[in-house]
Amino acid sequence: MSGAAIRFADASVRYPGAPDDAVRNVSVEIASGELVVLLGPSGCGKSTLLRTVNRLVALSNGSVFVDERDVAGADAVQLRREIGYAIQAVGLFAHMSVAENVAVVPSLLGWPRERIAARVDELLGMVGLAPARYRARRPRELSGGEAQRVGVARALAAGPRALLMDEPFGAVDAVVRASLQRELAKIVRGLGTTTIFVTHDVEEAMRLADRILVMRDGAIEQAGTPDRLLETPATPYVAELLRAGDAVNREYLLHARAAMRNGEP
Amino acid sequence: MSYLAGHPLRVLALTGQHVELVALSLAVALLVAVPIGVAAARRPRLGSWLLGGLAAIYTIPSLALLAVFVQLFGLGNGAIFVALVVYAQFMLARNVAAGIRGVDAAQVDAARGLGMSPALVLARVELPLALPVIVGGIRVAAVASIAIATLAGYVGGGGLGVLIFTGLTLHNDAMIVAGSVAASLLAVAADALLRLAERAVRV
Repeated sequence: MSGAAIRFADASVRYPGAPDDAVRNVSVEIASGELVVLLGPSGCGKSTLLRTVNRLVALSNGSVFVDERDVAGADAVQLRREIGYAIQAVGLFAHMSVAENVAVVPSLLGWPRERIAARVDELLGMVGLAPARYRARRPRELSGGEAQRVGVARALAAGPRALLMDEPFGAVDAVVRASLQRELAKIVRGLGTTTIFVTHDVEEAMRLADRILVMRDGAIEQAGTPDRLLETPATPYVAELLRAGDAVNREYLLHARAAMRNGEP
Repeated sequence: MSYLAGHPLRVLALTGQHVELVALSLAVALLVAVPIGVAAARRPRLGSWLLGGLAAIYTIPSLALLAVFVQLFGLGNGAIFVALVVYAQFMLARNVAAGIRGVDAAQVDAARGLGMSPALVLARVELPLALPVIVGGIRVAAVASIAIATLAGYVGGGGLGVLIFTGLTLHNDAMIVAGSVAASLLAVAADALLRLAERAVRV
């Protein structure tokens, strides 16, 4: 199944009572199967922009299209069941087992029980959790990294054509994060799921993205491949932001990306 | 305990009536309190009005409240039943509201983002996660209701209050003690049971 194409057309968001737009006139197209990272400091509007795709946030102007269908005209609940969603705080349902958490969307869609059970095991395996060991566990019995994995499995459960991720690995340590990033990239590229990934972590953006949209004050400052951004930052802001990935060594990143493309660890 | 020894079946029957009165009134009270609590949790301003009003009713002495309902519904179990339902509202609605407000925002966001309708978010995520707090409210309301329900004996209803008030009338101390002790034990037992339930629904 191919991923959904997502298109923002002059999209703006102003929260009630706010003096300024949280998202300003964003127009950008995301191709089917693309992994796009929204990068910027907190408060730049990246999460807000992400949340307009599944209508958790309503646009005050402009449109968002998923496969050329204006989301404003869609049934929000139905739309969300077709789009995966994972967040930094994970939000695993504390009163449900791991399996029940992963099964949420398939259950909402009315899948038969056997199909759900098989799908849960398949997904747990996909995110590197042995189904027999983890199925019955409660969220409080999971480490941060394990919880994030379950969050990803839950987001992918019903085979969504698009995946929205809001700093999904923000709360785990660097080592676990690196392996989660690697596995996520492998999974969504393998499935061809169009993915929008929000982060303020430059290194994470560089590792994951086909394309990075650098955001500032609600607008897109520059859009381009990681290499392109590193080589020719369009504005001092972008250059500064990329430098701010402090320990990030450009040479190292360029090599690391080349290595990842060649399928090395 | 001499009365209990002499009339175990009568005490047992009155205890049964007492439990029935309290359990039924709590069940009805809960049906009313859940929508009020949910509304209060959703709209803070409306919530402070609703809970403020219920708190005001709660401060009315139970005997005075009962007198009002006797005027309205006449003597018997009806008046006490309505009084119990009204009296429990504050404790129940307040805890429903607090329980829902206390639910982890990330879980609610995830529930919405995964495509649960508002009703499903409430039924499958918010209420289950609020359950320990709600059961806590039921526990407090149950203990208070068991005490207040003894007033049924004063207004021509049933339950353990019958022993207390008949005993007062007949100057039969043993009867009063039997009624009081049984009602107290009932309250202690309800408290203990609902504490267990509270723990059981905690995640």
